[in-house]
Amino acid sequence: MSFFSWFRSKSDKPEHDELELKGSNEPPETHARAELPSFQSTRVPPPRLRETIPGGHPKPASAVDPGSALKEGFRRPVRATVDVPLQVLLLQLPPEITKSNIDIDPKRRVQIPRKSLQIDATHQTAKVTFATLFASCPEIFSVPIDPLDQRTLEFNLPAWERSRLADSGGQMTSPTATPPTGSTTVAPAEIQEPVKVPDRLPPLPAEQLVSETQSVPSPEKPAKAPLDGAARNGSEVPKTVRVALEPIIKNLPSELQPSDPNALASKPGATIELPLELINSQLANGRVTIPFSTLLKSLPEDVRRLFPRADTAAEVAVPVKEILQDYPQDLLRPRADQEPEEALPAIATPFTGPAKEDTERFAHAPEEAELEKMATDSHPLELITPPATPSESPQPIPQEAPVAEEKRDTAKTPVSEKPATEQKPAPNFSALQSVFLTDEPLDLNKVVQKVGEFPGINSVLFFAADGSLQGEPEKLGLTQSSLQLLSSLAQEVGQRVENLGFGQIETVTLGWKRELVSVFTRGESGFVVRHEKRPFKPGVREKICLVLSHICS
Amino acid sequence: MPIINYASKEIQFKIVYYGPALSGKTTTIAYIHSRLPAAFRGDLVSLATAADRTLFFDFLPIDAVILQGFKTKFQLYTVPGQVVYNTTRQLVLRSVDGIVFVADSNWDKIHEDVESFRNLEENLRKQHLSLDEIPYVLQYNKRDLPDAAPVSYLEFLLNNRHRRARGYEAIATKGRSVFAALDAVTQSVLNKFMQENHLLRPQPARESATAAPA
Repeated sequence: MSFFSWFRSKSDKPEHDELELKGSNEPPETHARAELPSFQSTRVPPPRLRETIPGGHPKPASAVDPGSALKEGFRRPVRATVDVPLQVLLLQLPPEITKSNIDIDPKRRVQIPRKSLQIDATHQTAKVTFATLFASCPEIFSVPIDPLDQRTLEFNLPAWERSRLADSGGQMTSPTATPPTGSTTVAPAEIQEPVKVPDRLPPLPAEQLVSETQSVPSPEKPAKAPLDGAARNGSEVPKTVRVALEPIIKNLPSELQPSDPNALASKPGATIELPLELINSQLANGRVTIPFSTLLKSLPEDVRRLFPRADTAAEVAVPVKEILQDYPQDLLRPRADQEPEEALPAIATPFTGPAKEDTERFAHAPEEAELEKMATDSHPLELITPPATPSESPQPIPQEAPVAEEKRDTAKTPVSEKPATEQKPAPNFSALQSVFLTDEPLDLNKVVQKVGEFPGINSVLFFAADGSLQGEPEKLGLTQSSLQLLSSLAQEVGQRVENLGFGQIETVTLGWKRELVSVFTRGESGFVVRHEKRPFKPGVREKICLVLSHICS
Repeated sequence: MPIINYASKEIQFKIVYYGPALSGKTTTIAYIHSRLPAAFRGDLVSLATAADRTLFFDFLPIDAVILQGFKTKFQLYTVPGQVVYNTTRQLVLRSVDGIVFVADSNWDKIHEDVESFRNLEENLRKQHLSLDEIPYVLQYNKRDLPDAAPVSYLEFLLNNRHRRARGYEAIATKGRSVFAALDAVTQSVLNKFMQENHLLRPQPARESATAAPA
């Protein structure tokens, strides 16, 4: 036998590897092996490397002792695709659509997406639509298959899948059991949707994944799956979920966008119905996608015509937010067997005190929200007041509305170079330490300096309502008159924008060729910031607003 | 597994803030740093990029209670949330004693939350650990977003393990439930340590973090 033919024969019959090895190359059984107990003396080959590689040749089920993998602690992973020998498919395909002279190796395997398959765990068979098969392997068809073609082809599951089902202890093969809601095939009569095997369902540990996706609950024992709440209650579970069409269309990639978006624009509020089973298996991922062909199926004929049919296997995202609008909330219950939180004896830690303080502080959240509405500053951040010390009595939270009135009164004060701190009591700058993540004592000068050290900021200047400046106007490259002009411009813009109903403006940004200058104003005080010609780094804008509002208060 | 130093009579616990990128882990730890008196805490070490993204980790040591004559210290770490830094996350997770999972309530980030939670499980599994053994709490952050995902859905996604974990609706920028989550995980860690070592109840080292320093 030549080496080539020997190699071919081994490739065709991988299960013979073991026997051949045992018969020829392997040393004779040792005494130690012979003395092993009977269940160990039956030689169970360890999982070979190619068994663990997705896409590798599966081992025939006949060569695998069901449950032996479990004994060895090995569990076959769930693959995204099911590899089916082409020969198996060719035998099942109707001859009128099968290409007669196929120049393809029939031992070749076709990778079919698992989610497109309708798997019957009881009989260890699977169904696939012609359309899906055409998308996976078009070269075996003599005629193109319409993406909406619902004819199916049934075939025996390959050995790998059968072994994987056997790994679960044969629970899925129970003929009396009914699968959980999350994996049940409840397709509308007119549309036969492929069954979703919930391999991606639980965002949970492996043992739970196995129990929830592969075990089938008996009628008297409630299922563990989190999506079976309604089934437990005995209420009617809807088979479809109504989802708004508009957000789905918005998320479509450009190549799948409808040819005439205006035609769809005339149908705002249009919805489509998606099979619940299609949603259930993915909802636990936080993201739901459907095949483009499914989207097309659910559309009315006049709308469907607007969409291209190039890539019907493409996945289309459906916003979870939209799904949950109509989704039965009963199905979002936690699992039935979940143990409650453990009650632990309380231990006083350094964090207990602040936790209580924060709880009390946020217990009055509605009042704070009203105060925030009244206040001129509406940024989302909040200053963190450090804990009170003996030398420093706690400062009450300042209400900004009266302060704003005060600032209006001082609007007509002449411009002078006097520091702003002389005009009114200095704000408590120690509260700003949390913003700059520093322990050093702060004053206005240091605060301005620290703002200038924010990433992306080149220079900064603070101008007070009385006209005093803090910072380096020379570095900013602006004269006092131009600063006044900027300030009044920002105020004017802010007032006009506010009149338009957009609320209070935070920043006015002027762009030059190389840099940007942004003006932050609160009343007649503010920061002028020169920064790189790009948006502020994350958090910088918010921090500047926070600092400014504190200084102005 | 806490580090016990018999020479200096110290026990160090490691709390890791885990979660997807931009979920608010660094903001949380910065808030904790800002609220605790300087006598209790060390410096906040933050290795971040210019765009304020955590590059390696944030680190904040905190003195806590006294257990059987041993001074306990808590070391708070955050991990970089970006997917590419998984090796760093695995390093930071080594010898972890407690975990605060910071989830982003933004609808667009829900999937990242789930992925990050699975990544946490996977990284723990690589170290032969499991969330069944390690005390952890869930901090549903950014609850002030106008369009935040409902907590029921977040619980369904992230708190569906066999043992239910405590979940907190938090706003890290304002400090809401930040300390509550930390306190809960700290207590769980201490209780677990005492159970495993058959220790009595600890005596607080100081009254509280908010007590005025002398």
